[in-house]
Amino acid sequence: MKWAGYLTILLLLLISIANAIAGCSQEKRYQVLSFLFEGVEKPGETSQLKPVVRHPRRPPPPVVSATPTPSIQVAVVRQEQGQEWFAQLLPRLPKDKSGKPDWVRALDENLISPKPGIDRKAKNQRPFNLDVDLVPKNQPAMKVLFSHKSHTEWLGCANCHPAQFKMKKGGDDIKMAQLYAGNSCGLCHGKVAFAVTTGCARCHLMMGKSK
Amino acid sequence: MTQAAGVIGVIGFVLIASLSYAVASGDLVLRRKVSTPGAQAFPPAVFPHELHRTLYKCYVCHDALFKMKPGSDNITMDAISAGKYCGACHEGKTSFEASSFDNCDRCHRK
Repeated sequence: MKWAGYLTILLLLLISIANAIAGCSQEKRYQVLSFLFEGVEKPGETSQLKPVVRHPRRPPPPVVSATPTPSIQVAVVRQEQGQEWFAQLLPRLPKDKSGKPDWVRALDENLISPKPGIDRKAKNQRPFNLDVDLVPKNQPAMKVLFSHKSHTEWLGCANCHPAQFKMKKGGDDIKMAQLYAGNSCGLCHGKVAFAVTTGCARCHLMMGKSK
Repeated sequence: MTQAAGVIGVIGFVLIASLSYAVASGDLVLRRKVSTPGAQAFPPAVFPHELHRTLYKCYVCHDALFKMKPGSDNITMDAISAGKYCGACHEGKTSFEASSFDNCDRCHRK
């Protein structure tokens, strides 16, 4: 029995020495490992890891939303469109002298339909039909025709009265310098309404006629 | 001094906007009156005025939500989240939600 014990230890030693000398050469290791496993590197070659691309076994089903409520649908549509709709609309709008959109004409020609309120039931304010002649002292040729109608298509009375303009005709001494400084008419004109520098004849009607 | 610094810090969080006009596009840049440490990296909000006027008449927002005079409103994100200023429409239903972190760059852009 003692002999058998010594023999096994000796055998194991011999095997481990044989392994250390011969068995662990790269070719041998490759031969053994490639027999047992896949994707073993060949000696001298380095395999590159390829990402595993998984394709769906069947094409994804078309997105069919189950009749969303109207309010949510509006939000989704806007989300997708962003400002593209506006970029597409802009070239179609009539332009004034400065090349900016002529908003009054755009509204008259129904190219745009700005809503009168956040609430869907909100109704358009009735335009106020009153033209006012504003004649500067000693300068009758510089007469301005102020159309309340074209202004009240967009604005409410309180937007201008009484903070910008007094309710009394001739109550304000309006100077062009004020407009250029962004006050009086210049609060809107030159910013969101037609420019003061290119729209002369739209207010000073006589200037348009002389040319 | 520490109290004053605290107050300045609180005010710093409140981004008070003043309006000034970018001449070319008809867009309004709502410049900050108070600068915070990260403010330079985060552009101020841009308000496309012309886009909005194709959708709504002037009197929808003026003067109920915004005063006519540029820079006279202190527009803050807190106020917008509370449904004031832009938040009256940009609440996620009428239009996209302004106070959602998904939408920051829709207004804060260059």
